Amino acid sequence: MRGALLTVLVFAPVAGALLIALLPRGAVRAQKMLGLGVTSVVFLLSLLLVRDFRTEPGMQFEVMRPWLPSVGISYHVGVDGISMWLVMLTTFLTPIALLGSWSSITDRVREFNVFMLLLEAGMVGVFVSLDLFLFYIFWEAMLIPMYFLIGIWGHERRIYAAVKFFLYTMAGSVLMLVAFLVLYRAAGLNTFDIVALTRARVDPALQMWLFAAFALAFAIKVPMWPFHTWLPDAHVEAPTAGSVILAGVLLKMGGYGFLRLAFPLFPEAAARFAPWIGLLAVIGIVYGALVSLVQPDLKKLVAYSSVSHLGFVMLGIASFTTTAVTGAIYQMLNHGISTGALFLMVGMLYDRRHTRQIAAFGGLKAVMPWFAAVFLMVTLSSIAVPGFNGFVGEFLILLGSFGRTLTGGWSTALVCVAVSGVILAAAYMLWMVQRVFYGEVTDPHNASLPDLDLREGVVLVPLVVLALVMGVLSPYFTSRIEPAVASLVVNVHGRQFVQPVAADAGAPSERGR
Amino acid sequence: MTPPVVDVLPAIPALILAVTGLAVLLAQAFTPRGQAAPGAPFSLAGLLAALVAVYLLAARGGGDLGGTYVVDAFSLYFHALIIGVGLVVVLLSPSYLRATGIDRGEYYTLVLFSLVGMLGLVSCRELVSLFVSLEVMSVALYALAGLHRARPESQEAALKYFITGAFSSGFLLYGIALLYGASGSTSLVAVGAALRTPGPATAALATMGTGLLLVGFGFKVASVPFHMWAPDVYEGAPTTITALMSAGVKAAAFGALLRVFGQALPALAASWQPAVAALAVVTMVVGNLGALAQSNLKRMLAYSSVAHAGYLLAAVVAAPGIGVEAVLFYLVAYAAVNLGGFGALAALARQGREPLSLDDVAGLASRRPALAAALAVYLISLTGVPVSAGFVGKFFLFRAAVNAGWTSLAVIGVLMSVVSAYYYLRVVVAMYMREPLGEDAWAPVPPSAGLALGLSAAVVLALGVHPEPVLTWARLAARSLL
Repeated sequence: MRGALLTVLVFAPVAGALLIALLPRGAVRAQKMLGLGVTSVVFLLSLLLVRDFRTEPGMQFEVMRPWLPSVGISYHVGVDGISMWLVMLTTFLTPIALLGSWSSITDRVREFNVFMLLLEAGMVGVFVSLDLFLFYIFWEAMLIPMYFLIGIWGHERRIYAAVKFFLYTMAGSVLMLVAFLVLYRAAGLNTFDIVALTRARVDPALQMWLFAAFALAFAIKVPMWPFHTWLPDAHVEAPTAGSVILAGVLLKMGGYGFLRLAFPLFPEAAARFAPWIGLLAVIGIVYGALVSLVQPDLKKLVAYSSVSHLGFVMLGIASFTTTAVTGAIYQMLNHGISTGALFLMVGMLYDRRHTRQIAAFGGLKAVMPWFAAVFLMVTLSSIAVPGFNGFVGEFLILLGSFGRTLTGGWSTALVCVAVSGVILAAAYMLWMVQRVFYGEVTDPHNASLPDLDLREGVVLVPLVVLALVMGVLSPYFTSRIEPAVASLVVNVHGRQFVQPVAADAGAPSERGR
Repeated sequence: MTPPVVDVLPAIPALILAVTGLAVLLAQAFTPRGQAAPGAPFSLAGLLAALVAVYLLAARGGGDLGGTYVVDAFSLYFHALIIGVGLVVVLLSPSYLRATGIDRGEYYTLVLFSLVGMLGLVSCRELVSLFVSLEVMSVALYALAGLHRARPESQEAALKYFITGAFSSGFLLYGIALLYGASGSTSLVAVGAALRTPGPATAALATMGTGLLLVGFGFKVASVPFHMWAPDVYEGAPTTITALMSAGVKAAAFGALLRVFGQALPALAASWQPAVAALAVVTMVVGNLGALAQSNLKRMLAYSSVAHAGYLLAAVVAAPGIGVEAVLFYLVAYAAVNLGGFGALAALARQGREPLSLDDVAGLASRRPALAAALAVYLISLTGVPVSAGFVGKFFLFRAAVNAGWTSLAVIGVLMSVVSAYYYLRVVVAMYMREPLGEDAWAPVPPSAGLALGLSAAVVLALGVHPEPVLTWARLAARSLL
């Protein structure tokens, strides 16, 4: 079972998708039930990953089977402390997204469920692949279901957004594909195995080119400023489930790609580029926050806040100290949870009022008290108030990015500017909450909006609970992330960037040497 | 003196097809006026018999007809591919011919004859018989392109195809003559041996000959700047014939190109590789940019077929190394999607009309879900996105280019693939994301066409997931060229 677990997690959704595709078109309820059922079972199975995970560096649950042996391509999957949590995030968010759009998707329900399941398979596949060919297949194949989700079930400008999303992401990825091929040739190992290639030494001059190709693909996916322009369109036009998955999981693939591929494969180039990545990250933090501040549209505001939040993640990765990288991974999980919840709630408002303009609301606290309470909690998680998960992530990133890091002499300046993002986040989020939920009910349409119903509660409660749990019990998570991070940092740049991880928001932990 | 023993077995598959073609023609003579002979069943039987013959030949280890017509692993691979293409085309044809009113007996005969030419093209190891095969194939196709006598576009297609075809034959023949002058032989092996130690005059002749051959083949595979016939011919010809041209002719022409350049001209690789690389670049760029500007689906697919010739040429640069197996694999992937793409258009034909514009396929996903899904699979494969044969194929094409030190070709190739995503996606957008316009004017998908389209889609997906068997076979075939 241990060996087959990851394979099951990848292919169970595919099997589910095939089953749903075979259901008659009219059996809408059965299609929804099957979709939710399969993704829920996949989530329960993925809990076995956490249960059986050993707190140690290196790959676990590994399987390796020859696939195209003549070219050195194999079906090689495995997880470590970095990827396991991202797999969990994926399996956790998918059923929530499906349940969240239970009643808002009424057209072509069968196709919707099929694409959501295929998307889940692709996402899990990306996080568990340990072979470049396999990785690329999942990486690119994922575009197709997402493209359909945006293009068929999206809002007014959905076709434009879907095509832009597809072209942008593909344009970024294809050069990475060529870089794979060049790396394959340069390494001379006749293998596409990521673990094996990480040990190969590539000529530093060539590394620069290859790193640039990888970085472009990942920077578009993150998205880092100035490669972010596809994101507001895609997020705003996508249906709620699409936005949740897009923000919750897809954006994590860029950061994951940097950590799994770009930095370990090309250490010299990474050292050269890191300050610049840090700079772009910090620009993204401030830029995303400032743009969020002036958004009149709720969904756009949340979308641009992602640019800002992901800037923190990228700053942590660029700093490349154990603390900062652990924080970056933690922050990826946090962002998945809090932004996922925000998109779900914006979707719920849209379902009720068919508008997302902040100006159209006001005084909702009195009308929908439960909704307002949950929204406030999610907001607090998003703006990193202590006690919530966001605080742990951002604190670790800022702490770890300070001093001796891969961004070299720029580190202090980068952190100083990044801190302003924390304050700006509080400003744009709380101001938005104030305008939507407080004050008088000015628009009579808002006077009789129904509060959360049972289904919506079931969708949101796990997210809020997890945000609190991850805020309070962070050592449970960081202790499982940190060994993998430490071994990554040491393998790439020696011991110079190993710092004691602040396992509980400031308190140095006992492990991690 | 005893006559040399001639082993005719290698020619059996081609002979079966030729005899079937004649039988269809004869059957037409015995059919009452105004009715069509059962050409499709005859042809299917002949093609299946030929496929069995290929299998038996493969089991026997191939054969050699007097050194001119050889059946080695390379030609066996192409035999299977070309006969497969023939099967799909014949399955697609009956309903299309009825819908467009061109159901005449000679159609199947001509299709079978052109297939015979293609088989010869990939099997001839001697330049004159290679040329004869090319003409057998082409003459049948000239007639097929103009089969739609009532439509001026069809007439234009036939005329254009004929004139440019004759023109390119001239180049090819002149090239053959120069190579003969340089080496004193028309046998590929003898030419190859003679060119290994050329004198200065010989080298100049051979280089000129090589250039002319490249031009001749450039016409046949529709590479830029010898592509200008392709959009008009693809648009004007009956759609099933367009499918045959884009899948079969391209495969056969690339087969002949690889054989000639791999067996006769490896000594001149240093001079033809840069030329092929240049052709690849302009073909990829012009083909894709041209496709962007098309509103007619058949023309769009025609430019896309030009673009794909460019991707293939990028790997030909790496011939005779791993480039050959990459090209061989890609030709299968490419044949499947083009048969599917044109086949899907043909399957919808009704009362002389077939879908030509994006508006014609708007909302197709809600009216013909299976057909739309199959078409989406082909388009995704053409774009080169996994999970599809097109992705695996492009991966190996560009791997060959990179391994041969032509990384720039791979970079241009993948960037052009992104451009291509735009025009392929337009069709998907129309089918899935737009509402249908007007009444449903298209035919229900006929069973035989459904079978053909399903087969193509299955091949595309299967090769995307499990390409190893075909890759291994392609590798064996590539080795037999050395």
